[in-house]
Amino acid sequence: MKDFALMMIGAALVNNVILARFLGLCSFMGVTTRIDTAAGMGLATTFVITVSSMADWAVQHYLLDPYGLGFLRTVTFILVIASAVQFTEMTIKKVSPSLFQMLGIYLPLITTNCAVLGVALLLVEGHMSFVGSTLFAFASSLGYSLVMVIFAGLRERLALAQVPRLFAGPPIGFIVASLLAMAFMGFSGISTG
Amino acid sequence: MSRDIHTVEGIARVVGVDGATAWLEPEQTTSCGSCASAASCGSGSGSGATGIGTVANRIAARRFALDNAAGLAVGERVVIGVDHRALIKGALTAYGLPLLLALGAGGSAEAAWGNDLASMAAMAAGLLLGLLAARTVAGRLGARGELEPRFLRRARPGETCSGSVA
Amino acid sequence: MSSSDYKTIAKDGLWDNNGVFSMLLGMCPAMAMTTSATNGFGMGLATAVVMAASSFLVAIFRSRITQEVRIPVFILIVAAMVTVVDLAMNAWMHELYKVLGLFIPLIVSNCLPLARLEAFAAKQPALPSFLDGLFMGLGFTIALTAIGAVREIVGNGTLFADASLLFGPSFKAIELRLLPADTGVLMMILPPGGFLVTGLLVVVKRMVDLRAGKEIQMGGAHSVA
Repeated sequence: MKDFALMMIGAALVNNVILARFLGLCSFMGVTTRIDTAAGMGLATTFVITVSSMADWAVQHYLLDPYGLGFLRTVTFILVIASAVQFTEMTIKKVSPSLFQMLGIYLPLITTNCAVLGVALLLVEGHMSFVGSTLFAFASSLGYSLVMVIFAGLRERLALAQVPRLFAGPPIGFIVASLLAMAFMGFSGISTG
Repeated sequence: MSRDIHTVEGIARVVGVDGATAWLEPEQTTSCGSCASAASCGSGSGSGATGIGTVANRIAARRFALDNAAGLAVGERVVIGVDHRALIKGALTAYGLPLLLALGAGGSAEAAWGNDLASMAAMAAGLLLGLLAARTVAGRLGARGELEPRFLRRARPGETCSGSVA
Repeated sequence: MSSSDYKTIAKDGLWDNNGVFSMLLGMCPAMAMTTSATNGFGMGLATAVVMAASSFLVAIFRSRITQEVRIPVFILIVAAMVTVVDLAMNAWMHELYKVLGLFIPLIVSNCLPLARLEAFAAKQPALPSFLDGLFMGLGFTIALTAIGAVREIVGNGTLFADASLLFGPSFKAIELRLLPADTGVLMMILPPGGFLVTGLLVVVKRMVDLRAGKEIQMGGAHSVA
């Protein structure tokens, strides 16, 4: 139990997907200036990452490993993740069309971004049990959502600031992200996840 | 631009008018802003070719109806809004609830049996249960009318889904 | 195609539409794999090979790929090329492969190759497509090497350290030490340095473009309010 808790803190804060591993940067830079949308987007991404890592674990352990097909991992995982994204959209539509409609209007489309694939590939290297790897994926994506929300909040303020024209847009975003990454380095003593 | 902080705004394009009902398609970015080369934010869905996996295709699946009290015509772009708490509630219902039940069920199974196959079955069952629960909650939210998008105004020409261009 | 068209392709790929500094695509490897100029160079070359090969293949088969299924086909072609590069590097450049690790398979989810296939290779003959992929990839390599060089010089005082280890003994000559040992700012090698240097280099490119009297690109679809 304690192992799981430490592993999850490590995945969410110490080795944060965005700020320490540099995964999912395009969604980080390009998506939102609203905290609400960032939170909704984070929840959706958490769902997709967790579900697709469950499927990827099963594919890895019952298909790729027993038959020595490890070299097909990249191709297979891409297909599994694309299916997981489709599955998520179809399921939510079945569960509640009006809910799907509302989320569909305000949340960006989730694509096969490198955070989803990156977490799945990290899990293969981790050699964990099914629940362990699912919790790792869940914690990683919670860390992703946390940083997305914090950054959206920072950018709500940044929108009101007078930024020099050369720095406007992405460059100032990168510099703010650099400060945020520095702040997150303070977590690095907590665990060696 | 002054923004109402309690309303989340989105932009949609009118693709059809049917009596008192207007059909709209949301205009939006993908989670990876510029990958949407065919139908990226604000460029309009008319230019993008359709096909499996394209943004245009997935946006077409999100077409929705709106009461056409404002007399909208095809091709117009409008701003629609929803209460920010409704958006968070909706996302928690659709994604958070099933996920928490799945992880809870999977974790309990792991603690009880410690067998990967058993945990996997429990997690799948938890996910299914969570989706059923989400259905109930979403029905309740829908009955209170919280999920309905509201028509706010017609969009200005330069206005895109990532905020108005300064 | 005349030679001036090829010149445009090269100029577009290397500078005007540089994948990292203008279009802000492929940011993940651009920051994760640039702790040194050598790593950035290796990552960039791997991406360039994938882009050139997949652009070539897509251009050859473009008349057979129907509109309806083109995106899945493009992704699978890129994934296949990535697998080939992954296996080849594991076999022949094992040291570099160990450094780049996760980010070789992640070339698949890099927006840059797919964006070029969609925008160029799907419509053009094989040779220009190959060159477009190659020059876009080389532009990416230059960007990554530049980010890596700045981070390495400021952070560690060296340039192209370990090049002989990663690429082979003949690269011993380019290993440089520019600052005395122990004077580096370690922060530049750590994650915050990646964000900072990338942000500043985007500004530098905008300044150069502005001097040359060109419109500066505000980051396309990424334009942040």
